[in-house]
Amino acid sequence: MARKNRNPVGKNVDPEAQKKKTRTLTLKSSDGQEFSISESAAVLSIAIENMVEDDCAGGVIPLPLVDGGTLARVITYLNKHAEDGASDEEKRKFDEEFVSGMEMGVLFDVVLAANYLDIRGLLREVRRRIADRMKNKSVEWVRKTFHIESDFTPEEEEQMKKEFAWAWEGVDSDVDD
Amino acid sequence: MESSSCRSVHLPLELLSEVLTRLPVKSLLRFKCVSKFWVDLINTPYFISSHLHNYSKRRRRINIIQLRLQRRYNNDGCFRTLHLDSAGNQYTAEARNLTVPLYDPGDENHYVFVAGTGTCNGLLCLWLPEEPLVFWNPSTHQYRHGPILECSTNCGFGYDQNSQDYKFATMIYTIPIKFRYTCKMYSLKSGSWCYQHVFDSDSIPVGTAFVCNGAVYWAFTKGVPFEYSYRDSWRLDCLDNSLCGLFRVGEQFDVWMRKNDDWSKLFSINQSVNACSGTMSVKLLAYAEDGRKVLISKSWALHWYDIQEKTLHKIDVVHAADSTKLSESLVPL
Repeated sequence: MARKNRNPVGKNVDPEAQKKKTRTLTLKSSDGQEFSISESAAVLSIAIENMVEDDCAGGVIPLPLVDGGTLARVITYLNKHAEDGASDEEKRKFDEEFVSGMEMGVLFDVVLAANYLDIRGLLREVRRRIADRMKNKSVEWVRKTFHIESDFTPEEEEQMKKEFAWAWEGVDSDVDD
Repeated sequence: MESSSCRSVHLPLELLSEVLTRLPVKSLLRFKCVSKFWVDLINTPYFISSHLHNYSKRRRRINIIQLRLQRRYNNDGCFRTLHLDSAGNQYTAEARNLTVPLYDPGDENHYVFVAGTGTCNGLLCLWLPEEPLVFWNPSTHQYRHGPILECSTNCGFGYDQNSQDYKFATMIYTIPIKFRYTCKMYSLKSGSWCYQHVFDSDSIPVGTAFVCNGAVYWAFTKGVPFEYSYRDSWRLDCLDNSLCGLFRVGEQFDVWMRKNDDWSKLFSINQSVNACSGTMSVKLLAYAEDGRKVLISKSWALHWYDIQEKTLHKIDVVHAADSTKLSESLVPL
């Protein structure tokens, strides 16, 4: 996206911030894919910022807990949030669209990556999105999605269901999304 | 496309807990059935308090409960939820009818009215004349009954951090002896009266009592503080767990807040819209997320009061009488 007026303020530019914009880092995923990213975008992750500050990054930062597909998504997020002149409203809209198309499995991968890389904004957004998807779902859907086997006896389950029967009203049908 | 959906999902406990605290109570009651691990997690006091904080605060949501209670036969409460945006400009309302859990809902000819209510952490306490106290969590539908009160004015309900217990407080006027009061406290944990104190005073308590910061507060007619005189009526209120004083001076209401033993004036509301109503008709409900506006109920309607602009904006909610702020919560009874 070409953007005029990259720096509308123009004055009082912090030279350190300017340097971060031009410096690039290389992030390496668990499956060996390498991604280039500007330092200013990368340090939105507190974990990466710490690695850069401790100077233990070297040339390439290995991220053994994040696979390539997930890392690509996380980098898209970081680049948008590091973009000059992107308004809060624009970022909010981007966040909304960013998570809206993701299936549950992808949301889980991204939330784990955001947690590991300590990216607060992304973590908040994805957590909220997972909760929104779960809200009206059935117990069976949750078990299937979280890969959980019930350890209740049918009697115990029936008893609990009876206690809060009204909480079972208005539940969505189990369609995957 | 990678097939991430067939990978085993194992969210760390902290992350799972964070996600679940963003769910409504109804979903959580259902998801207790997922597994023994989930029911144990959802039942922990830590989870219950994180949920109380995360669900109402982070979701930028203010729940308002409105009670309409006339007869036993018609003991419905209207539970209205207002979803507010962060600036408090827009809202959507959602109404759900709930039956108020009276002790004996049988006799339809018996008129019942609510003398007062207190709310704390999603629990609602109702005091009714000649009726057992009602402790109710409208989100979980759980309830309990307390003792029948000798006197149902000047009562209050709240949480006492020191004993980690919910307390109900009442002030009883002993009729044969002039100006003698008995103040009593009821503990929800033990299900019994836990404190009693008799004292003499030549002034009269006004309005609801408030339990906060480990103490119970009553307003008295003669104890009017600051620059106000005994002619200015006043009463206590509560805003975001802070004790407030509402003073009526002519057409104006002054709202003071007590923080760290100091009182400071928050704002004044001009009452010219409806001059005939007393202090009792204004009720503080909640702050907007940015802290610049306060939601109040006044003259049977809900309003946002903009503290800086000093303006009132009416919210068009049909029948906004008897509104009380009530969070959604899992707090057990």
